Amino acid sequence: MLVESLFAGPALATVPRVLGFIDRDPDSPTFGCCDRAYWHYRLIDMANSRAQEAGLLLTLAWLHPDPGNPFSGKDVLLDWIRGVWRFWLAARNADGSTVEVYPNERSFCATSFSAAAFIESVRLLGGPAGFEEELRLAEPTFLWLGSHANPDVANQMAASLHALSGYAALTGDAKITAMVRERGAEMRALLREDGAFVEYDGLDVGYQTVTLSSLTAVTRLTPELLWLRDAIGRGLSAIEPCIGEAGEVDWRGNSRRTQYVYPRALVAWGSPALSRLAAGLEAGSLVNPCWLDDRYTTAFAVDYFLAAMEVHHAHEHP
Amino acid sequence: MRMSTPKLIILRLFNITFGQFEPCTRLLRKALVWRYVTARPAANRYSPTSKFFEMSELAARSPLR
Repeated sequence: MLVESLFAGPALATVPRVLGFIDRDPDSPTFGCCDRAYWHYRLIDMANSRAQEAGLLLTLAWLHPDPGNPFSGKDVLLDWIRGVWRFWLAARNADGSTVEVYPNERSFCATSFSAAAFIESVRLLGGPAGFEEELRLAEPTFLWLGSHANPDVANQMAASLHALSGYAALTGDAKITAMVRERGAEMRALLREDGAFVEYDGLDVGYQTVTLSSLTAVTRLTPELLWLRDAIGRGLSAIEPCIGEAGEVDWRGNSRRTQYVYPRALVAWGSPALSRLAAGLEAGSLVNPCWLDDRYTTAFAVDYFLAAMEVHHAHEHP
Repeated sequence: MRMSTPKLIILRLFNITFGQFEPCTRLLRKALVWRYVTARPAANRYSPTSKFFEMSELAARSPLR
């Protein structure tokens, strides 16, 4: 099977499930909410903003050129995507931060990843054109991200750098551009000599691939952070020996016990570990987006789509 | 009607106090079933097994632009 299909397959298989998480009724007061436990089951008192990353998954499904992709070019997805981002904008705290678990939480993690997904979705859909109002409303979120940090966990810092770089690239906002430089320096300081981006004082192979995926996105958004390519190379070298013959990782040795690998950066930079991930996917033994629960499947499927698109892009522009 | 923080707190307070006694939990269940299922028209009932995605939705386009 083609490597592109190996990654696109599980991502596409996840889309109908994720669509079931979303309130798709435009007349509903929670139209665009992607947390089914909130808008449909009514079991919880607030929606997890990370669920809104489904907006990026739908964007990628709409764009992905696979002839077997039933979502490609279907315009109803554009309505749902806009609804998802409008709900995300409306559900934020007054200071622009977002919540993940409890009311009035100011989650650096959820704000970083959901903002990065928002900006990537807008960019892929041709923004800023057509999204001027959403980008204007979103500004407080990016200002909040630039003035808050969580250096204990590199993957969240990388996601915030991705979000800030994307907003700066789309809007040219001078304040956010300065924040990109500062966050870049903070991010660089998290890289150890051995190539590990630290997660609570240690290396976690799974989270390192999340970090490298975000940093790969940043390289496409800003030419300023010249150290990034070397850092990504060192980061990949640190984890490649930890990925087994079928793409598996020994999670017992990970600082956060993560069981899975985000493939996008490995594909983008031609890692030798890519063939091992492909072997695991072909054998049906590798943890993939279809295996994860409602909380993590969307973000993982996004990375599978991005990996498939990296392969596609590499074939078209060798 | 969505869950709100005050409603969730009241529900949990009921659950850990009166809820210890089985007649109270039975009464709560009956009240919830009446409020969200039997007292409503079929099209508007709480049904956790509904609202999943169907492929036919791809053909439609909502009025939102």
